[in-house]
Amino acid sequence: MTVLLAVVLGAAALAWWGVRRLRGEADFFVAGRRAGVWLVGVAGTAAAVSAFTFVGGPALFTVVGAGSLWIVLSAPLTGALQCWAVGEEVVELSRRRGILTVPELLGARFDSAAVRGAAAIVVLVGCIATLAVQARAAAVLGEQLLNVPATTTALVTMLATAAYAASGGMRVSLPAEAAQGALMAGAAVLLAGAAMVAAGGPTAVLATLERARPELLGPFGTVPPARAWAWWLLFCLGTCAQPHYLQKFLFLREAAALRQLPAVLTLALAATLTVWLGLGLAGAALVADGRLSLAATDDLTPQLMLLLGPWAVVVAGVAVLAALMSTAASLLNLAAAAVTRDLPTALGRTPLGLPWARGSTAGIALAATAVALLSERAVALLGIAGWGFFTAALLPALLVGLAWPLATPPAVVAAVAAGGAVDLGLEALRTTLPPGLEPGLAGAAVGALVLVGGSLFTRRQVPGKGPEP
Amino acid sequence: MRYAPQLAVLESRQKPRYPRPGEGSHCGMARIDKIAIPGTAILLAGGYLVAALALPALLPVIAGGAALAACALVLTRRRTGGLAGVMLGIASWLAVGFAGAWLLRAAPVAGLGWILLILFLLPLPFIPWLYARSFTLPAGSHQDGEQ
Repeated sequence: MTVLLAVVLGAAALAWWGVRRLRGEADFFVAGRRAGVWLVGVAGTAAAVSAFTFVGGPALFTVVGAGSLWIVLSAPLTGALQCWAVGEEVVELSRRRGILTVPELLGARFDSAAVRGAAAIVVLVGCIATLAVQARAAAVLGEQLLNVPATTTALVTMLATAAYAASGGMRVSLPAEAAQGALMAGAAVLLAGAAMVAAGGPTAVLATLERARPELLGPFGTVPPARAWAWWLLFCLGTCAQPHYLQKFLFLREAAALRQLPAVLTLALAATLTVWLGLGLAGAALVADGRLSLAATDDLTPQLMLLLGPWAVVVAGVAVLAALMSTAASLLNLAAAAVTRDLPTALGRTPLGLPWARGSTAGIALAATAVALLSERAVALLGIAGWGFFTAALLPALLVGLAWPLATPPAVVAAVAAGGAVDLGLEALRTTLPPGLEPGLAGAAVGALVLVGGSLFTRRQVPGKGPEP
Repeated sequence: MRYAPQLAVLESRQKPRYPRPGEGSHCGMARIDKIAIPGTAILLAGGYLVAALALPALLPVIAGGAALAACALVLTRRRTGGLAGVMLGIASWLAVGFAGAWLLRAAPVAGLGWILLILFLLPLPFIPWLYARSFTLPAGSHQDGEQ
């Protein structure tokens, strides 16, 4: 309860500071476009690393072993990949046209209100789903670790985040996310090390697992290799389609900062991901030894922290709260922008002002918390679904659409719709799918085919303008 | 799409990177890109669906190819020998890393060690460094205060 009280007080102080410092919409949505590379890089990683990394990831390791690591093995590449594939283009386009949101960026690229509207709908739906993951993680954290009722923890955490996100927008959320990111990275390294020590050290952990559960230590664990490759690709390319990642490119003070951005992103991400491996390996060894018993896989992190002692419970509680609050703040801002700027503009109306953006931030936080508390799906599955939905719907438009000048707006809208629909349809059939068929990737593949085919078809409809060879 | 008047004026002074829908081809774009981008997209998207449904052995090739193709989009903006070399290096790293993981699939500790060392730890400092080395601001790019 003390941790939650500290969160509420911290959020109240940030909200007060935000109300005093906010100067306008550019401050609210893109932090005044004045951020340096360290602020953007660490905050970007904080927004990227959700509670899934601390709770769902290590739990998944105890079930499928090293196979789970294929979700994060692309980390050395993703910082540079984002900049090469979309970041440089996003920075150039956004600075040239004064763009404040990701749907606005796509709308400006294609000079199309329909594209902007379709992207805004995707952002709104995906943000609420991903916010629900954060709220659910808060509920698990409260119940298992902080000894606070799940509903109370979820509501307090989400409303505290909404308080400062609504009052100061990204002007306040960005430095808060950077602080949370630094805290997460430090806590991740500390907890991973402590867990390994508690399990007897790396050599003993490996020996235990090699004896009791050797299948976890193969390069693919118990995951079919096809699924491992698909996870690697989904979480590699998917970084180019997550709006809360792309949003950070809009904050940069100068384009030259891109040069160092992958290094900062990679460093912060690698430090934070140690918790996945450390807690996963140590937890699996402790479970194999019989020193830890789990009623459900998501109980691993809470149970392991209780084993380490009260200090670990506090550190993990703070780190998980930081992870989910930093992700939630970015998503709340994106969803509020979709509701108050992108959708009204796509419908030919004037964007709603800051008071509406603030109100919708609070409303969206409440809606996402309600979804989370009513959902029975595990944190891990919700995390993959949220990521996959953004990948399926937005990746073709961002990768092919931004780079290929012959892409047309109707084809992009069709690709967004087809990608999102395929992902949602396949998610419903997930248990029956072949191991290599990830719904998010399948949606993106179908979307890419629709985008290319549709562009060639619709360009042919313009008199005298056949498709370019 | 309506823009603020001052932005519209600013845009009109600049050479557009993208043609408006229905306009002619992009004047500065190499002809090969017009074929390479959609061609690669169709190949990889179709290839993924076929591999996932019927030929899972192709998945590492598709996964590595798709990641590499996404990185190589930078070549549509600036083409240098250095960047081409970086792409070749990334392709080699992915090929070696994926092949090693497959070959060690029945070797518990060695397999884990391989993916952690070759696919994760070794490239951690190198890829951001390669990015920084190959980074150049495009001519006429917008710096601070130019919005």
